[in-house]
Amino acid sequence: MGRVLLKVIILGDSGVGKTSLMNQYVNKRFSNQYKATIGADFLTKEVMVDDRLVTMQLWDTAGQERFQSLGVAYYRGADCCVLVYDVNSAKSFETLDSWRDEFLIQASPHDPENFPFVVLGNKIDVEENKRQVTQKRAMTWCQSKGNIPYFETSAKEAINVEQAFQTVSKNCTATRSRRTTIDRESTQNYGCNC
Amino acid sequence: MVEIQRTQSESSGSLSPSAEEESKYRLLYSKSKVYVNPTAYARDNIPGFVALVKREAINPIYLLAWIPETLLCEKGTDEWNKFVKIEEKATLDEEDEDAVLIDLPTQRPESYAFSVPLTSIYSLLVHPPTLSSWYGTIGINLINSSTLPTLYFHDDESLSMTIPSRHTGRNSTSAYPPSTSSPSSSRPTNSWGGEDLLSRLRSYAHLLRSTLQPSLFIVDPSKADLDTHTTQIFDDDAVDDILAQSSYASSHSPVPAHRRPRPLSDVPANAPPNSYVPRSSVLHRSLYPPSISTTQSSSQARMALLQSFSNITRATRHAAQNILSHPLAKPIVPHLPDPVKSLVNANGDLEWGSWVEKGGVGEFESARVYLARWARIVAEEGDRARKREAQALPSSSNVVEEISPLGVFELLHSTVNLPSPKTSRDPAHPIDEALWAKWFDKDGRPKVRLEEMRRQVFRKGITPDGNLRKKVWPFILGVHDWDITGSEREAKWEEKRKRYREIKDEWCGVPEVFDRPDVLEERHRIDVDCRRTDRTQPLFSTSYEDTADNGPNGNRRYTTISPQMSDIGAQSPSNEHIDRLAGILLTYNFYNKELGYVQGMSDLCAPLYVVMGSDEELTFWCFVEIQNFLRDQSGMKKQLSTLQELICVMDPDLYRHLEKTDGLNLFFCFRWVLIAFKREFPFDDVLRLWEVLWTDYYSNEFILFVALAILESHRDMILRYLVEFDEILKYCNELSMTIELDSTLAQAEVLFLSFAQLVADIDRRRAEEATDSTSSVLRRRGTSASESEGKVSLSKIAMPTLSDNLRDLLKTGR
Repeated sequence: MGRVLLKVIILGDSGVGKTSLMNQYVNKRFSNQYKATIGADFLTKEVMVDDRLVTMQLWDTAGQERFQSLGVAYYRGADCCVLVYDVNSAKSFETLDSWRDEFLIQASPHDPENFPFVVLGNKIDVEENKRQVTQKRAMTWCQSKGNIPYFETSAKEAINVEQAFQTVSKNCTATRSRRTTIDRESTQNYGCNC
Repeated sequence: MVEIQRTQSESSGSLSPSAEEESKYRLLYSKSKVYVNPTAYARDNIPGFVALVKREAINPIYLLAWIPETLLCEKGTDEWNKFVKIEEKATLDEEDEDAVLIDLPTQRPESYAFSVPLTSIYSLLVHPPTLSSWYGTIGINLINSSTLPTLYFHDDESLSMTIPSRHTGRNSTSAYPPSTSSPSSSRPTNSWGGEDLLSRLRSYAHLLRSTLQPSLFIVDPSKADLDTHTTQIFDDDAVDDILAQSSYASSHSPVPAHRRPRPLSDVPANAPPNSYVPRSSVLHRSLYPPSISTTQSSSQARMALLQSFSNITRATRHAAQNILSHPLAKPIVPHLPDPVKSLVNANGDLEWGSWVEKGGVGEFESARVYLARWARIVAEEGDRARKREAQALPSSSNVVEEISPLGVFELLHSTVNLPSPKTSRDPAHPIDEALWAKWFDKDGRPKVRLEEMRRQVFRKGITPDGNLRKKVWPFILGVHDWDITGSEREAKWEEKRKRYREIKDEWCGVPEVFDRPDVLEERHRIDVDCRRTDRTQPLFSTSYEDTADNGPNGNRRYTTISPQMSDIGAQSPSNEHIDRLAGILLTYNFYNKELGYVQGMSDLCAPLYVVMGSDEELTFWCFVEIQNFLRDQSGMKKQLSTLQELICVMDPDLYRHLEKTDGLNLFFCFRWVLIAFKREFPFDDVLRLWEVLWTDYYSNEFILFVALAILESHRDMILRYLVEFDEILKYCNELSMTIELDSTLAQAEVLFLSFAQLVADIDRRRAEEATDSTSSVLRRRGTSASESEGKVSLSKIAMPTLSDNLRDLLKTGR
């Protein structure tokens, strides 16, 4: 049948708004009641890319660094990685480097140099004087990493979310169907004596 | 062939003529070495005969009975020989001259003996032998909702299953009058004793195998049962069935065909196995549900219909309504069971709506996840309907109810569709203030043992009224010592309070520590999470902005741990209690310097804070006790790998399915185990669950049995619909807030007891093999090997090796 499934991983520090962005994009709603993500979850959305209907699977994982060891199971076969930071938190921006590196190690894509990333600076709805990371600083970093597309978003106000994820879907259309091409070998086996 | 005279039975008692009439019971069928297991220990198992008995009358009554060997021995060798004789006799002919009359099998609860009319049986729960539980079982649920002792078929000891000549000789040469439709003709294909009994039962009652729960057989189903248990809307073949207009309802007489014997040919003996859920054990083969005829002509319509189902992924929350109003679906709707119809029509239906809203997700991921969820809801609805019906029925008075702890063994492979298991729990009568006070004497020393207190908490839980939990939890958790007087306890507690203050003072009011980069980082992590933990709880629901005591007064700088916004970015507003919760977690950081804050800690700590009425010291020390985190997550890793081994032993089918779907890492259980189901149940249920888990009553890792219970409840959905790791993850994540706590705990208890029994069985068999290696065991294997394929695999079963991790599950107490 060849139903195309695009797998997208959303990464970034705890509390930058990964779950909110995903829900705003898929369900068109915002809640300030989201809890810290434990483990992982995903949402799917059907999108049109180049006149084809594809299913986008957006993976939301725990933001704390120490849970990254679980990443292997979730990152494999990813078609695109979305890096999120909070424009009001310099620290969340500064960790983007390590999120990117860690992802490339764990997902080990075939062509790490050209693997599609998208960067989102979230929470731009907060008053301007609270802002910690300028657009210029963010764009400079993105350019230095091979011209990563950059968007400033607000999950709360639904600003730029649709546009950002459209770019995500376009950028993963070095299209391949995970179900057909990616070898999903057994992730982890603790062994059993039965 | 042999006439056993009535004098036999008459001699055994002084019967009046009328009673004599009563005593005309004809033994139709018997099977030896059918056990009842009153406890988890194999040494307590009771061997006996299961029998079918006919009470001769104008309207004959058929009874199903189980008689322990001891009881039969009391009656003398003649009686015993009758049972043996009937068992040896392969075929059945009611008109046969050679009637064997016996005493009425008596209802003797203390010996577990029972005899019940088939009309009083609601359903049978049939579990064929599997690789891990080598004795197949049949559980019997009566119409009045009670459960008889589960029967364990020890075929390796049973006469009728071990004599090879009987099957091959007598039946195949048809020396007796069996026709093709006679039950006897299928006997050689009966792979185990329970199936043998089932095929005989079919002569006297209509057994309907549930399509919702394949191990469930409804005896003489009502119309409602037929609706609930035959509509295979979730089976690929069902579409053909419906399109071919060959639904069960139309072919079945509207009047329940009570007591009309049905030919066995109702069920094709060699029904092809369901290709979607291949059972690996050959022992399962002959138990497959009848296949539904497939017609070529319907295949196009079938494709179209299936396609419309697959379109569900594209649809929004009204997907199902749209699809079911689709012209192609029209023919289906009338065949849907009522629960589904009500869902279909349910524009504002509560159930439908809440289901769609679940997890805040309105869009469905794949048709399979969607269908699995739908199937679950239908099954649950069917279960509720059945319970309502059972309540409405007057309990039949001729059946002596037997409430024994045995019922708990009935459902290794249980699902939501089954009646609640018998369990030792009694959550309806929680421990209250009065009972608690009674356990202590005047000077505050307990009059009951610590173990007893824990047992009671496990069974009953603690009342949410007042602040009893605040008193009891520190005892369960070991914050307070048990066997000391109140004043001694007070003194010890004072020390702990002081200790907490000391640790807190390491950072509180000490700027050079408080603002150190590493501490700042931890404050950041803690603060971000505390601000989004249990904000619906009254203590946490306000924020500084909307309360009068507007935050930053003089000393807040050092009583709150919130870093500057520039450090944490834009987050939800905090309040006094959130700050104190964060303070407790930061203090824990200084208490356990190795670990640091781990996401999930705020989820574990917040309920403690609420229950302890915002008492910092009590919250802190309780939190210390429940801490289950390790920096490298090796604790979690060990728990998940133990759970994996447990699944392997308890449900090999599920294990192999997870293996195929890359699900063996059990990441879909990660959240369950990491934060003890905090996100899976409503807040009040979490409190009730946690106090049960903390008792360590059965096992220090009872949480894994709770996880197993949930997986088992949904195993059929998982096996049937979910073929990818991500689908299982999605399905499990969305179980959140749909799980019924008490039935889950009951099932977890049953699973634990079954597991303990399994371990005991394995150990006993190992011991037997060691001492008895050359004799009977091997001989028995030799015989059975020549008998049939089924028997071979049964006897060649390699006993699972129990790892230390698994054996540790039987440990209790810290």
